[in-house]
Amino acid sequence: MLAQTVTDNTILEVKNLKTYYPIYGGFLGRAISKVKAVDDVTFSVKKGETFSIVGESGCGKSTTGMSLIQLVTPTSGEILFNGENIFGKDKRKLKKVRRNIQIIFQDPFSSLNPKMTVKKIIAEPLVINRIASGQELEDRVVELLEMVGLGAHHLYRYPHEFSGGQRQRLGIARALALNPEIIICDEPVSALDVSVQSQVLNLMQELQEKLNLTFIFISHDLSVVGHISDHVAVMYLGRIIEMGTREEIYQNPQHPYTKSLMSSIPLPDPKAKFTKKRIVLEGDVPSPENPPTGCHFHPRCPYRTDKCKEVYPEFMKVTPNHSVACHLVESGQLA
Amino acid sequence: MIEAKLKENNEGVLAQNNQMPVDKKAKSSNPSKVYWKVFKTSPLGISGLVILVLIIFAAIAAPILAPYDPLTQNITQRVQGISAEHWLGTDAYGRDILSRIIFGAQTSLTVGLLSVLASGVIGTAIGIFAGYKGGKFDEILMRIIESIMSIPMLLLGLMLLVALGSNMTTLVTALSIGLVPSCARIARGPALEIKESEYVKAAIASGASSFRIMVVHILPNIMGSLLVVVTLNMASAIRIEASLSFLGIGIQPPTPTWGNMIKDSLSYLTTAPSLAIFPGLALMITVIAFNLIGDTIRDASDPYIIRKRG
Repeated sequence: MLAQTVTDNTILEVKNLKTYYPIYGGFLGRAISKVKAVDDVTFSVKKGETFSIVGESGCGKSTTGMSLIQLVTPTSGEILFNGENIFGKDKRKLKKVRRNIQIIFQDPFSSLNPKMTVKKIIAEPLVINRIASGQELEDRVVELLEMVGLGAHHLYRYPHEFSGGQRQRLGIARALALNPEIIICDEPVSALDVSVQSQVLNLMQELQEKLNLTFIFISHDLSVVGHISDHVAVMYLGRIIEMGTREEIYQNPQHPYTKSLMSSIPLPDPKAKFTKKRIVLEGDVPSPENPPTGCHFHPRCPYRTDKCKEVYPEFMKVTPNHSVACHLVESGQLA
Repeated sequence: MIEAKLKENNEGVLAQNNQMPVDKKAKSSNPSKVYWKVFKTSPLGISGLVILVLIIFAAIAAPILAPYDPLTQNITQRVQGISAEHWLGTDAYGRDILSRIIFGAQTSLTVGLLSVLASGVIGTAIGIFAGYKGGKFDEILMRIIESIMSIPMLLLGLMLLVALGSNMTTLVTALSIGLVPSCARIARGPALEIKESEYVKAAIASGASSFRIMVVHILPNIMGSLLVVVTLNMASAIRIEASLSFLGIGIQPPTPTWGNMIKDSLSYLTTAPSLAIFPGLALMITVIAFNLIGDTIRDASDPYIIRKRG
């Protein structure tokens, strides 16, 4: 219906997305500065795939997710959903778009209204968009509950009666209510313990296959991302520094930051820890309010050169499925 | 690590789903039932509730319960003490004090209820709106609220009643204005917090309007603390109404109110103190009942206290 410029099966294209948070202060509380939470982020997501965004806390990965459905208003950029720019639309049009992009949150405790029954929580998107009512509504809610492994007997319970994993299932059911095409998963399993994590992840993959969903998966957990993703983007201080297929990023990381991240993944084999090289970075993540000049990563980079301190590296392709922003990779100094 | 776990769990998940524990008790535990639970275990809360029910019953059934007409004067039987005919004695005009106290409950409760309802609705709306919209709305509304707060309620009542004349409408208006800030401030804080919560974000992502978020998501979550404030407000409304009537600018005689009954008894304070004591007691018991109920509701919304009581 909207596919004019879409050549392949790209469902979402993000171009030069910037989200700056103003910092208020001083006399009269004027905006005195800004945090560049998301700075010039460009990527595209194919239908039916899982696109993961990884990075440390505060690197802007959640803000990127929120910006996509405009829970946080981006500063500039383009968000093309099925070829149509959805950024800056008026409220009514935005409501229509939001039906197709839903979100699952990190904290299963604050993501469900404690005063609402399960039925009301899951029915809410359907009620708001006037999709169903009465018996039809209840049938749909039960169907959704069964999809996520819960049942009709849970309809009139309250969130506090559920465990973390069950609550996250409720969150997924709510996100599925409108039959969305894309689900933004903002650290959906990081608040759960490992055995529950795998159950929820399996459920998500099952649903993805069954409903042909596209996931934008935001996480700091590299083992989870390695398990679930098709494409991975690594963010550092508001920018994507490396992006490619999961195999490329995990087997052949190029950027020094990605390399260090990959070396931090714990291995299940206890002997491996003697042979594995762990790259430990010096220093902390600088404040995004005042990022370093040139390459944002240079103060912590073990291979930094003078060029890194002055010029921000261009994003360049290493292979057709793998891009990286690093002067050293560009000039071939890093092998 | 996780891969292995996932494989192991793959079949486990489905198996487990089928064994989901079926709810044995059909009823679910509604969060508001916690209130009743706390009330049941609190002797003070229960006594407050019982007293209040009695007072409300007396006010509603006043024409049946009161042994005499509260306005009928009987000069031959003025300023009498406790007797079988007049249980609480008679006042300076020979009117039955018990009957006047019972009818006075009507006035007190009506004034209290109306002003608490009006201030509750307006104050809550202002508070939620200010908290949810934030920014300039918040600044302007809260400055207005603070300026109202800076005027003592008794003074506010005095000014309005003197300026607009003493009648029920003015009295209720004055009390409502005076009580708005407490509700607004109680509503604003949680509204600020809840608007950042993930369930509100999820609702926005599904297209919920601001109105829906304020009514469906924020309001139910602040009902508990609002109930406390409203109950305590009821006590102060009744108290202030009595004070204003005592000062002679509230409800005008001959309509009996506890405040103007105490005022009328002033000149007999040394000779017949029962004229002041009984309406004073009625006032005191009512105010205490509301405070007890308010305190118990507050306890019920405090998880620490609930745990302590088991």
